[in-house]
Amino acid sequence: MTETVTPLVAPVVETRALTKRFGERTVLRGVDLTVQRHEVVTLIGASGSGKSTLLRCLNMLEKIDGGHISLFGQDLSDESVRGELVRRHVGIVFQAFNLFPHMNVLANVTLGPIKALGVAPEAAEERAMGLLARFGLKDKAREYPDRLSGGQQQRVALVRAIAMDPELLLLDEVTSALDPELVAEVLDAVRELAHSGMTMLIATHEMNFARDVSTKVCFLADGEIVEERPPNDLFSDPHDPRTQQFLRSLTNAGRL
Amino acid sequence: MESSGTEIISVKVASSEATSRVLTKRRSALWRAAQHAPRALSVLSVVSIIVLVVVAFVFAPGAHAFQQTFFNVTQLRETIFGDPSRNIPPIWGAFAKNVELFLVAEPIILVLALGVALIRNAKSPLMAGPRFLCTVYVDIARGLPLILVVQAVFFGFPALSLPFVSSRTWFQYGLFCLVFCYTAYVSEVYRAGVMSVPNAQLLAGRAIGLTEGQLLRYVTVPQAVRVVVAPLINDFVSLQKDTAIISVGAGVIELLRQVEINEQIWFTDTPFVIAGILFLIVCVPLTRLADALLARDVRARLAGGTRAEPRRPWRARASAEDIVRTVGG
Repeated sequence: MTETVTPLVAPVVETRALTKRFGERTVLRGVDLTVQRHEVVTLIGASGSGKSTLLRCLNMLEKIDGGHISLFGQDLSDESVRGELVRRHVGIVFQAFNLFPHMNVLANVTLGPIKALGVAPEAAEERAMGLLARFGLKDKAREYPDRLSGGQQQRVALVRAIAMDPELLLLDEVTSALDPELVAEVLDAVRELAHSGMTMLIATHEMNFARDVSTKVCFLADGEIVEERPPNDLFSDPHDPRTQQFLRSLTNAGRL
Repeated sequence: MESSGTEIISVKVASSEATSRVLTKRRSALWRAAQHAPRALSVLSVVSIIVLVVVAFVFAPGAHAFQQTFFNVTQLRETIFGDPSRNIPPIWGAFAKNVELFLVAEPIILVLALGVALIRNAKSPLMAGPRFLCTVYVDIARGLPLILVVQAVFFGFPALSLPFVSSRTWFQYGLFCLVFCYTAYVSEVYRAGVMSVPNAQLLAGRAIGLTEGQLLRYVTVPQAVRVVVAPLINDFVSLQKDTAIISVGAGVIELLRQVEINEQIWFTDTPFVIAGILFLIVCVPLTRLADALLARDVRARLAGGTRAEPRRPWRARASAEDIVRTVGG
């Protein structure tokens, strides 16, 4: 038998010294992050720490000002890399759902596969119906988004993203705009995805969720990854004073 | 000590009495009527306005002369149905010209204006040239009165003696003038619609891998058009009325031109009244439709509150659920 060989598969995400500025303000200052296949990495940190911006840089919704990003081993700074092609492999779900209000649920879910991926409409619809059923939305397929609760809308947004069959899914505070009683149904859906092996990078304020779903938790402050460790270590024994401070304030607010 | 305490208490009592007096004021009988029989009161209000207007027309000192000039029954009949012996054609033929101008111009305007709006909103440096051209065009076309454009085209184009431009029919010249002026207005309406589509929608479209062209076609334009349906109808109403301005270019015997000819036979204004009524018959329903759509739009936004509420004015009638939702907040 040969020795165990480290697989030569490139990480799904690899950023080096990633920098992003909005005008005078530096939002990300040298972020180094690696996400391997089937990993679920959560980003925690106060509002304004750069979590959302980091996610949007990864699928080229934002241009970066310095450093490097490579996805699946491909450096994104290459001029032949196209944003829309990157986004066909990297799904994102937003805090405010952003469903298309002029289309019903089924059309929302199939628009990407049909128009961006060129899947035949019948096949796309069949697959979409399967996914909607899996997330308890089968009877909502013909409804318009304004008839759905926030939790249902967010699950539709999740289905819309995974209908593209992404190799990486970015979740940008997907429960922050929801009423408290609707948070659980969306988190359950995300948990199910995690168990099915989806590679995910999740920005969240739900610490208990971060603790039980992720393989690695990154604490961001002032545009930097301050601490990056397995969830149980980070939550029970934070090393950096800024992490300690952040977790203490959450405990005091009864959120942890 | 004790006496000063009593004083303070009595002052307090006095001031609270004063407050209670300020809070009440006798209601008028009219107000009470409005509370008890709102429907009867609104009927009464409408009827009295109508009666007032009718009385003003019937009992005005010049009422008889007015009626002879503006509502001469014989002339009304002859204007509408024509009189072959005096070489007066029925009015329908002339009015059909206006409707025809309107119906042919409108689709052309809708398509061209969307193009102009999209070019003006395009961000690519490659589009800087077309964008500049469109901006100049819109500035000129919006700034020039239609009547001047008609003069320039009807007398200028034939004079140019160009192979294609100078040999068109009067109808085509009229069409050109309407399209030239209205495309600019309508493109501005579209542009406002395009800009009203939230950025979050563009992000969502990009997130599922749509190209910029697909984003425009499946996300931006469908939402923009729905927002501007009511303002667009207002422009249709204007366009329908402005078909009358083509009459100054002569050549086209449309409604206004025809009633001017009739007017010169009798020297009364009755033919103009007919023209006015015909325009109203076409325009009033359109105005009502625009109003109804606007009201729906406002209601949908109120019901939506801070949540992203889709505007769907194309569902012409509100369903019972919509009303319940609106009332229920």
